[in-house]
Amino acid sequence: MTFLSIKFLVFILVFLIAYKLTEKRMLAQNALIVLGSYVFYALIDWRFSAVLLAVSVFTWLIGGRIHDRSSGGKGGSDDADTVGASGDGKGDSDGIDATDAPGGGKRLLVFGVSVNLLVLCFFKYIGMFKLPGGLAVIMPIGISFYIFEAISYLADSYTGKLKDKHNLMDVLLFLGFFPILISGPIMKAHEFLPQIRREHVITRENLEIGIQRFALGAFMKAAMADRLSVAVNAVYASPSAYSGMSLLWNTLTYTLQLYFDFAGYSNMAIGIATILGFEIKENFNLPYLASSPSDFWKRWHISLSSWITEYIYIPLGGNRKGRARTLANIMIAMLLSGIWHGSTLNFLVWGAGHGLAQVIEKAASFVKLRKVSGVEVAEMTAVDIASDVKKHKVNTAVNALKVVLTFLVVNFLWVPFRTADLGMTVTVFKRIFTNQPGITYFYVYTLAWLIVLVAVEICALLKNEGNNPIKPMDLSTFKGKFVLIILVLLTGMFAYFGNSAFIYGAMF
Amino acid sequence: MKNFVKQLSQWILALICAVLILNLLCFAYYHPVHEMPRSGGATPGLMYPHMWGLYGTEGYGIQTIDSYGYINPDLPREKEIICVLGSSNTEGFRVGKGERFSDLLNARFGYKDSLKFYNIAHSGMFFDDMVRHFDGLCSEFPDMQGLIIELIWTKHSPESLRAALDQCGFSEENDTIGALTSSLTTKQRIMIAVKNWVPLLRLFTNQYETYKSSKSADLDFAGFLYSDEGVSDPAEYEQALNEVFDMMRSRFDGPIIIVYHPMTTLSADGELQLSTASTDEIFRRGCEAHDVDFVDMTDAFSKAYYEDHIAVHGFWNTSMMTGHMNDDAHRLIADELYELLREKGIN
Repeated sequence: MTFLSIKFLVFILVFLIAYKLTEKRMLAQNALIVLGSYVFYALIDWRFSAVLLAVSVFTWLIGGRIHDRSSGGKGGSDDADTVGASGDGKGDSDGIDATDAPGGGKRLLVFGVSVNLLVLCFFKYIGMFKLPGGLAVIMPIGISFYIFEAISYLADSYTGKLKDKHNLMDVLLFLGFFPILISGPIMKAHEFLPQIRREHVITRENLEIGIQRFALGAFMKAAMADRLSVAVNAVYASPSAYSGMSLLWNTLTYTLQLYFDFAGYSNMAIGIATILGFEIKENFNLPYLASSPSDFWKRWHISLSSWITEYIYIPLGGNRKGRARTLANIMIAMLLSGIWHGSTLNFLVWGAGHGLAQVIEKAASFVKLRKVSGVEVAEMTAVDIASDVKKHKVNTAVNALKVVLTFLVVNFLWVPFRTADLGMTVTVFKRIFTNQPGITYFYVYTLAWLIVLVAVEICALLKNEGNNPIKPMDLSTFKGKFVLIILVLLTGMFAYFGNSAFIYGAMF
Repeated sequence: MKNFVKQLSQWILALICAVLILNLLCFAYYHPVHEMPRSGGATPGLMYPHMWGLYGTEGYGIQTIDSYGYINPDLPREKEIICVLGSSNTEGFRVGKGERFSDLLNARFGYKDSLKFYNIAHSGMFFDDMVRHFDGLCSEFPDMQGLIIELIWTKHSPESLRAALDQCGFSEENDTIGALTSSLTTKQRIMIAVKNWVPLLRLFTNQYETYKSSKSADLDFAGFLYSDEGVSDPAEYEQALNEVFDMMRSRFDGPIIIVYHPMTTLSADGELQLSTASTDEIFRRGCEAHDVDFVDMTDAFSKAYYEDHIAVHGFWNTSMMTGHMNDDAHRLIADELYELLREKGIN
């Protein structure tokens, strides 16, 4: 069951009515969310609910014990940089420190995290092995997301970021919260759990914001991403048939598809959560406007990169253990990110590619730091005003170039992310860079949606310092109503439901 | 209460404005024609005359409906016409004006202000449907000089071929465009006007049909096309086919050309896969035995792909090697037919 289905529409309507009825009764409301979440998940596959329940109960049990035993656990602040922040020499804020005082809490933490990771690895990588009797193991949808949330719960219990001990219902709600269960955003325990301990009311403001967010997400997913998937699937099914230029165009198509799909789903998830009165952090911020690989990861799947920073990069030492170790930590974090995304070698290559890009960026920043710390500083302060203006223009051009270069790196790194195997990745790149002849195919919707995205990005640069400029409108005005209706109707018009080539009945 | 009324009015007005604007967009994106079904004649239905159809959902083409209810430029017909019968591929709504193979043939034979090759294609019409309407075709077009039939596949069951021998016929009172339009009720006329002026509704209907179809497991179209299933008894098939051709020849003794164009798809390693079947050879034999020309586009399509990297199906707003014939396919068919027609002295 996806958000864009009749089944979900019926589910959410029934749920919202019940939710409204339980307003001002926190416990009842939380119980309803838990019930609703498990019903939602069971409607996809009841076995998935069983796995989620088992993980939740286990995590709660271990987390509770960790909380009890971790006396003196560090309560670090929550302003960690994301992986690949430019080297400014400052130490990162504390997260889980590998050299924390040992004790039962730490052992339990290691145990709890290990079991969760084992569960994840089992479902993720069992497909690589041939099982006896033709047995097949289905990976529960969303497991990658809620396992990470479970680890977050254990870690935050250990570090003391979760001041209060939480009951089973809280943990069931946190890990099973249906708006973000399937595809995130990944919430950290210390960000989400405090929200559970207050009443939630469906306010008019939240309803308006949530509906608009959901509508935008639906358009991005159904009309933009799904339509782009037509071309991507066709070309990657037979890449050898297409010309080099067509394949190049298709890399752009996939770059856009992935963004609209994931960001669209995040928008829908955040929209639903907003209606319910929960605050979910933004997951995307115009990632293709990034001016560097590290900036990209501050804009793309922000919840994941933030999680990796807090629970992997910083515990490994972050940038506090010297330059070589910083670079190694970046690479390790990105490799793990690759593995998290998928079980094949492609994803490892993708992760390594991003790791390498950030390592190069970081290493370059080390060189720049060394340069300005010396004599050159005095020379720089002597520059006159006319030269400053020239510098600004050069800086704008340089920034534009950085954005383009970053985009190109990201765009090409999406190829191994999408192709079936490394052999196909090589085929695609070979055909592109040697401009092989083949079928000419430039999907028109790539151009259409690219124009839309570029227009939004220009708006972002002019009006919001390069950040997402799209804000919810006031639905009490005619303009707000009109824009929402146009968006919904456009979704209906352009949503891709399948190949309509031979649907004769619809012609008349 | 006042605020509630104001808000409700705004919602209604916003909806009306949005629908008007997007409906306007539909005139350039999706404006299908209206069909009037009939029981007899060359086809199962005629299009409402003097309308235009535009399909931007697959390819992009605008075609007009003439005064007879067929998809042709509104030009006078030659005294002796060559009827071009086929499915939605031959209708050609997905290709531009003048790019259908029937239009190309008119142009190549020098017919600029009249129609020699008269397109009477109808979507969803396959060989067994064409057989069932054959008597109707001959009656509706008594001055037909020749007939071109477009075919996607030859896999028809002997039962369906024999059932098609039960002819529809043609009735001047009921099956002409005049009869159909004059018998329209006021309600039907209003519906036609609404469909013509509110194409947005048709688009949403099309979207809904596509959604329903995507959820249905009834027909695995590709599975049917690219497998050799469907005709379990070749001998029975050949016999039924001969009966069909006998019937056709008993009604019409002029030139009949069957253009067979298989569907295409690509394998993972870029090889072209065609929906040819074992019944193709039986069909070819049947044609030869009844003095019917069988033009098989398999080689031409293969050559176009391997030598010139041309995909004969698909468009830049869908995917290549799927769906309907594009302008390249129409051009290739026109090339083959032009040579054949010249050899036969038909022009």
